Amino acid sequence: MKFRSLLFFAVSASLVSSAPAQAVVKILHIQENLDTRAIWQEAAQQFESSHPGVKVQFNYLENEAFKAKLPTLLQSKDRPSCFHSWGGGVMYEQVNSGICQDITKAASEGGFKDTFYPATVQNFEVEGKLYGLPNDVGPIILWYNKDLVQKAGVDPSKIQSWDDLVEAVKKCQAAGITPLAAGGKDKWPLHFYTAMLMMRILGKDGMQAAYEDKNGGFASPDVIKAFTLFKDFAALQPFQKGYLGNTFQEASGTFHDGKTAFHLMGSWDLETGRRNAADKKGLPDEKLGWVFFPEVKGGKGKANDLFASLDGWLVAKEAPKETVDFMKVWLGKDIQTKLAEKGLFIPAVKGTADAIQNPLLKAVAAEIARSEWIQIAMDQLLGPDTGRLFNDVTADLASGNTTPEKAAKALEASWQKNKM
Amino acid sequence: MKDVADGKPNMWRWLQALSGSNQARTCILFLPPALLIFTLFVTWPVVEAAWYSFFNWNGYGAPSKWIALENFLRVWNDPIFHLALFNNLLIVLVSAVIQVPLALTLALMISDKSRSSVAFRAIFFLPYILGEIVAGLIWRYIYDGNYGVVAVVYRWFGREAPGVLTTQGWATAALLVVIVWKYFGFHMALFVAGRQGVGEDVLEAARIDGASRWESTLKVVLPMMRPVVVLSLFFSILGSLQAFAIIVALTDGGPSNSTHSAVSYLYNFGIKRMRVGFGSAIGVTLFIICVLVMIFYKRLFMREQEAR
Repeated sequence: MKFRSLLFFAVSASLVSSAPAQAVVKILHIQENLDTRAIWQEAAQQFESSHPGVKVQFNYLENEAFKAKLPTLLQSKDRPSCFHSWGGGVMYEQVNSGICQDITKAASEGGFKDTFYPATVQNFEVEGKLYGLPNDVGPIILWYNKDLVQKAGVDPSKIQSWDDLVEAVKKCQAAGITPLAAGGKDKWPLHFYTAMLMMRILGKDGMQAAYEDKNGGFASPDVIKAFTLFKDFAALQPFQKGYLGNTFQEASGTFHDGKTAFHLMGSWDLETGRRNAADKKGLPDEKLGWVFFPEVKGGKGKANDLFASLDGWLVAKEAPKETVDFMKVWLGKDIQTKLAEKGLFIPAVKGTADAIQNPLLKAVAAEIARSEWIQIAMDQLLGPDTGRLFNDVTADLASGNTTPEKAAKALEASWQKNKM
Repeated sequence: MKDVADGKPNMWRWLQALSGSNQARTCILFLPPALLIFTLFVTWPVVEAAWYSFFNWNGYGAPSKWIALENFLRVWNDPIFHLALFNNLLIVLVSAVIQVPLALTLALMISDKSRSSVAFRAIFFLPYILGEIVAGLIWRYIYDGNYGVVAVVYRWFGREAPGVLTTQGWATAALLVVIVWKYFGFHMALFVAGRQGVGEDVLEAARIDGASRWESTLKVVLPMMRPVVVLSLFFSILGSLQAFAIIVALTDGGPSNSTHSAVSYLYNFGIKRMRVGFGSAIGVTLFIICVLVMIFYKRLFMREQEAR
């Protein structure tokens, strides 16, 4: 017995002492694209070779699983050093609970944080402190299929007001073409319509007032007007058949299979849509075009007020200090230029727009540099609870299960409970 | 090496010495691990959930905003929760009215040991083996209004299929069909075992007494299988209270939150929305419902069984 326990202690002691003193930077992401991941891996290798003793680890979780697991994961000992974030309400809750690290100082060194578009950095600031860094900008635009719009006799460049879009839908339907694709099962693709209609009607100041719960908040007549426009629009049945049962990926594939004339989706749809197309290729560049979501007559918002997903990375508390060092390489101009060249997304780093080869994305990127106002997705801005309710009422408006008045009232009631 | 080889008997003797023949000692020795594990993984989470349910808490940091019973009031007044409970009830009802009789009939037909019966048993049992997510995804394709089986069948008749999973009412019906399809094989397996437990001698006695096959089924086999039927219904209730993965895969509670079960409601409105306090209130409510159901069930069926 004595011998055995001695042996046991000897073995365990040797195991403990031989464990290498290594810093591990663990990054939790939701990136599905293998090309993107390959370039990230390159950055990791580059960093590891210049920083001996540091390991960089990328861990993937599917989008919905990521959202569900994150709160538990962040409070465990196994928490990632750095994780995907859309900013907004979810980020506020994470920061307020103290699980994020203030990286203002580390990220400002050498002016690193100024290498990004200002609006994208601001998305990861809370009360003047920086908790993360931006990755990419995905403005929501109205993609169109050149062949199909031509067949329907629609000139997309003339879609400037909401009425023009309604007109285009009717023309497509008359020509036997399904006007739009939408992933209604996921709900958030539909919320682009209600949110952007709100932006176009309320304008920047109006949106801010609603957020601050002034002038009737989210139950104001303007919000009800936006909801009414969307409800009437959905009543025209402009979406592919069974759209309420289709996911975003399925809808993206439908558009890139050439089955619908339009798809209101982020700039990332160029890549995601092609990946989800039946032939895995989707529509070639020359058959694609995009326009801004139209203005609403009498509204205060403009067509080039951007509504975008501003994705980035938050740094968790107690993450090794090498995390920010790695971010400087990984989110630095060199690596981001490589990603831009491949047209994988629109990086948040200034000057990378020039490297984008794809003419469609390049044009979107140019608008980002020019934009005065970037509104982030409402389901992120309003936090997980009210955000999901926003998506729910939008889907209910589409299916005719609620009225604009009821939807606005439910939204306002939820926001009353949850506003920051 | 010698020491190691001797280790086992040594330890065993040591254990014996410790417990001796005294029952109390045995208890002291064997109870703590079970008690500890049960407390740690069952009792403690229940108590913890009950504690959280009094807070407005998103799961980050420690709960601090005490709101007393507000979470419970919100749960109990939520029409979506009522609908979810109603769906749970529907699942039990459909199981009792369609699934169990169907499984029982099939079991009586194929409980013999012939080769074809064995083959059919395997086929009917297949859906149960499938993962719930897999089954849900398969049926999503079957129900798809554009390229699913349902769409093809409708087109034979020159019609366009309805969006089965996107229309309220239809979606609930579709979900129930999948649940019946997925679990009738399990109930059938129970009944086959129950039927095989009815001795041939009893049936022979019935035959000698002049009972027809129908009569002996109705008056001998079925009454003798009563405990299995009770058990089967018990599993239906249990399954309904746990219904989750299949709903997530098939409808995710949609359209307009009309196909939630109590558990998928908890997941969607508690966990996904980061309302841990609210979710805990749902959990506690569900726990109370479970306890009530079990007490009621035990009173109604199990006692009667004991009396027999």
